[in-house]
Amino acid sequence: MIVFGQNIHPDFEDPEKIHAIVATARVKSSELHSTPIAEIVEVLGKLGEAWTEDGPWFARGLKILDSEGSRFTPEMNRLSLKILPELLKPRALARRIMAEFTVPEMLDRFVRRFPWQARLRAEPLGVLWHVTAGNVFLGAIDSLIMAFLTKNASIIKTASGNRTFPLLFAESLKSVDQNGILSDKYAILNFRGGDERIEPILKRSVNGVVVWGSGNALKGIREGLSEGIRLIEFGPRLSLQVVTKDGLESEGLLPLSRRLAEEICLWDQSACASPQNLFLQDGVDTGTFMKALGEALKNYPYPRGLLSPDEMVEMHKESALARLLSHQEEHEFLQGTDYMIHLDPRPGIRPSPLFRTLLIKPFEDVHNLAEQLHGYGEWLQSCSLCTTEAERHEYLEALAKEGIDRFSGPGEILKSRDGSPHDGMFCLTRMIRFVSDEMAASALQIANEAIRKVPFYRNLKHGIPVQNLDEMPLISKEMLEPYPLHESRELLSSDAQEGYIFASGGTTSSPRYTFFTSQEFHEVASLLASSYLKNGLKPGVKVANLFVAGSLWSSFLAVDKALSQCQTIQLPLGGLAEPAFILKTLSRFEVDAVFGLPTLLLNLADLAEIQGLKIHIPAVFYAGEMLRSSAREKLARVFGTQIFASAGYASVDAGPIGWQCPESSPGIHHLFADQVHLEVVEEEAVITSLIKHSMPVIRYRTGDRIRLIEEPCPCGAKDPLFELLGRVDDVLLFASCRILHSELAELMQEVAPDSLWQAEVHSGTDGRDQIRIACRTDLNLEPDELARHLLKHCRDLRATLCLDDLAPVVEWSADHNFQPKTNPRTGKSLMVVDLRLR
Amino acid sequence: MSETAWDRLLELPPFEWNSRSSEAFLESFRETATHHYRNCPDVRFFWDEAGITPDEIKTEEDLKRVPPVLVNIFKERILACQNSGDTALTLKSSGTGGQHSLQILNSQSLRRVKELAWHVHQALGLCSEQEANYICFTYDPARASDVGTAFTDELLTSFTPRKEVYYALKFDPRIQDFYFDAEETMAMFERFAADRIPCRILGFPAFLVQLVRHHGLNVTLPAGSMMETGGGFKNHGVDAISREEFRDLMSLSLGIPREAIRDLFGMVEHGIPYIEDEQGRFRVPNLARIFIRDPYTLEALPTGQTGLIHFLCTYNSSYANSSLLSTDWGRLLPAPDPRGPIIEFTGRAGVSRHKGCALHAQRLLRQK
Repeated sequence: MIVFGQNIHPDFEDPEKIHAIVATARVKSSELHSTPIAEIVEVLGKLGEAWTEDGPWFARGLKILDSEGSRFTPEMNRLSLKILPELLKPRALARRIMAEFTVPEMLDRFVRRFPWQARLRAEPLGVLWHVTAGNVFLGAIDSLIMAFLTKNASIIKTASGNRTFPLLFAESLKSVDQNGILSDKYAILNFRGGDERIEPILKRSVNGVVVWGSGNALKGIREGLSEGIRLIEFGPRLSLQVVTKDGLESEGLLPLSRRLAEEICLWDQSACASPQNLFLQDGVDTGTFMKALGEALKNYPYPRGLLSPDEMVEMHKESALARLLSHQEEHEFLQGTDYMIHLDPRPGIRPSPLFRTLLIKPFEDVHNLAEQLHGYGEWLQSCSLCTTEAERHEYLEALAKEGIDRFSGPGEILKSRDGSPHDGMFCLTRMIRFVSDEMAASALQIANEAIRKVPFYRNLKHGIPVQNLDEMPLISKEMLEPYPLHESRELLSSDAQEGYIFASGGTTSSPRYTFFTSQEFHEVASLLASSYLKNGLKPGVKVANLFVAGSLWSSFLAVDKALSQCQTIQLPLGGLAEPAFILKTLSRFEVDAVFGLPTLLLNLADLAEIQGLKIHIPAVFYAGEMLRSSAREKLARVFGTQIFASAGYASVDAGPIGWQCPESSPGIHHLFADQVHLEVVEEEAVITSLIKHSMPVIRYRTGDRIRLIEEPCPCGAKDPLFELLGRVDDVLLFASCRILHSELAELMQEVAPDSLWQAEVHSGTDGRDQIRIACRTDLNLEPDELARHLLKHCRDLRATLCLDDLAPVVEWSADHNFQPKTNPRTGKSLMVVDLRLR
Repeated sequence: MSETAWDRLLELPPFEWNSRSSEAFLESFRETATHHYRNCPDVRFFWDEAGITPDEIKTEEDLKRVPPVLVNIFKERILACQNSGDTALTLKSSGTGGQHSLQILNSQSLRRVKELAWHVHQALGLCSEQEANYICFTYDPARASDVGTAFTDELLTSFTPRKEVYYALKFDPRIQDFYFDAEETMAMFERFAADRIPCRILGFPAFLVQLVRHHGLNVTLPAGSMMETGGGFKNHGVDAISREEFRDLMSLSLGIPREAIRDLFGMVEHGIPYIEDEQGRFRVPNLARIFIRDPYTLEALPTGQTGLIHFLCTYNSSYANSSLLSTDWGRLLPAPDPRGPIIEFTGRAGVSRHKGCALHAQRLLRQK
């Protein structure tokens, strides 16, 4: 017996020993509890590789299966054992987890699962006692795998005939699991079902019981099971084949017979998905059908395994009845050396004695078939369905209603997909509790987690947790610059095992990057999605994603994921496509909304205007830049846009920070209050992300100037409001004066509204700073006039300089074809180009 | 009515095994099996399939060639004989899952069943002229007249004059099912222990174990008391217990000598009682034949080997049960004395969902 990694034989006479096993299991379960799911999957993956046909264990395992505990032929055992490495492939395991949890990290910690508004965690039950069916240990392994995936410690009861295979399995697990992640987290005990020394103790002290198979085992377990212990029961079940007259015609008798025969022969019908009855529609010649099926059963490559005397008795019973009925009632009957087909026209299902015994049941039509199954729902499981395409829907609906849990095409009934529900229920979720955290996360928590897990923060605070968030320093870009991700893991926590690296500014020579795990990025997308939905985006609408993809940028990807969560129809055009192509596509598909940078959208509007294109774009979701009112008007004019919504206020490092509701005027945002902690320090927004664990963002200076708004928003949303005022560093130092970018913007709005413009600063031949404002306009301005405007709008200039000082260093450039320079990295148009830097 | 071969067989002491009893049985078997062959088409099918007719059965060895009719055929088909006259009693087994074996007895067969039961009990020293009280751990026949076990127990109370008969499994009309009233039964034990006449205990042993283990039953029943249980040792229920343990426990708790504690094996479909002798060995009367058959080939196995139990009997002129292959495992042991062979029942065969009546009774225990 295997008891938590050791091969020992506990004294079952001593109840203390049984209690000790359970107590150890408890300790092991808490060890497993803190093991990341990724590590568990990795160990299981290695185990799977070790069990491939050319691996070190396959041949030994097969030898044991052939010699003990298996009734099957060696060929069938080989077939069974080949399933083991398939089960353990990391991809298969991931599929099982994803199918039930969507977000695998839910097994490690509290995570968000869209659209659920709180955080969820899958909490293992603790100690599971597995009662597995039959003498075949392979069944127990799958149960154990599920317990591992859900981080439960296991006590497995096996049949006494199976002693060597579990030992070999344990040895193989030990060999791939050097760190002892899984190899000591289970005990395999051999005892008789109903053992009074052991079972009463287990029934009181484990957290869950997984029972596979026979009704007898189930009944025994149910009795005396303490309340509160979860009973996870599977089976016994009965599966069937359904063949309609037209289905048979379209599949062809011979190929169909081969597929049906395979379902009957594999594992000699011992699985719960093995068909025992075949419902054959009236109008098919049963004699011909049975003959073809009999031939296919005869030709199945692997012979039937051995029957126990008890199983043989069941065969005799069926055979005697079949012979009698075929004589007295002319029921057709066909018996070969290792199969039996018996036409039993009595309505309803009837269990067959298995071992390749099939009862054929006639039915008239789908209604009659449903009637025959009616009342047997709790026993039914899988149905291998052979109908025409036209019939399929009606059969699926009618039979699902009567209790069939799973449908497959003919020949596929035993090839269940990874992660399929079993007996109508997902299995992994039955081995856990879903715990929901409906409280908002706290920034202090995040800070202390970072001090624990992230070297940069650990060093900042010498590993000592803080009591208040303001004990953490404000973090600026510059402080993070020495630790770019391509050189250092200083900013990363141990959680950063997979995910995305994005560019987040910096310069070509010293770039900055940020990291999101897939889950964190998924949460980013969920936030965007929720803001889109609040702004009236409806599922099913056609949208174009015009953000720029690639170049380590996050926007296209985040918007793509968000739009997919919103269940829209997407046109992933991207911002780098030919403008003419973009316009043509928008027009062809009559999109309902576009998502993109204002600059790009305005360029498209220009082009559409020049070419006289009539394109209707009802809604624009923008981000990355402010959308000036002039731009808004232009888009409304050219594209007929009525809805403008900010895709949100975000930073690459922290993800979304604010969202706009339809009531928000430009610049006004709601805070994503559950995901972002916001402080205002000297007008600057300082944020702590509550979703970023892999590369935390704590008291991070955004460089954005904001103002908190106390009044509630008319939209009714609880998330508080703030106004974005511009960049803290949106300041141009010119001739020792500070010119705010916003002052320039006000000036231009007055002088040349609705025009593209840009200010260029350069050094004149005399070394003095010079400013030149280029504008796409017909208007001409003399330097004097421009200087006057500058003095009017720029407070610092007015305080420092006079008109005569200023006029010689300013220049107005009107150009009908003017194109503003854009940031080569972001594509955003620049308000000010500072050529003095070069 | 003229004397039949059965009457001649029944005239012999039931545990006399010799050429006289052999000839009488063979004659009776031919007579009855021929009647079944002619009047029950389903049974005729199995004879025809085996290529033999009942009149070919001339010797004890020939009996092995009798085609065994599997017990599930009794559950799926009604094997009543045509031309059998009246129907005096219809019996069903207490099987679950809606499969009930029928036994249809005309007045002749019913009389024979009662007579043979009396003969067998008499021969094993279980009949008495002295009046007795009865506690039956079985379904109250007032509500369960079609259940075979209840019929059997009612029959078993006929081997002495009855004073008072108490049925411990009462019918509850609210749940439409039987329940076991432990407290009332305890009180009955106290009362009968105080009476001066013997007390006889019949029925499912599981309830007795429950009373002793969980209700502290401990009385000394009057001298001459005995126990004849049935049906309870074949499976491992909550209070599964070996027959030896059971005898010790009952002897200690009820004051009945071990040799007066007997178990009965019977099947509704077959009708012959197999009762333990004073040493706890199930005796085969000469009114029946038992063969042990190989579960794979259905060939008769030599004495001592375990297999499926094949029962032959000859009393029934209304129901074609002369050959019945049960799904019970057992083995024949050679006769230790002139009273004939011993049969050991070793468990129920087959893996289908059909459960024996013992399990049904044990379910009742759980409900209370």
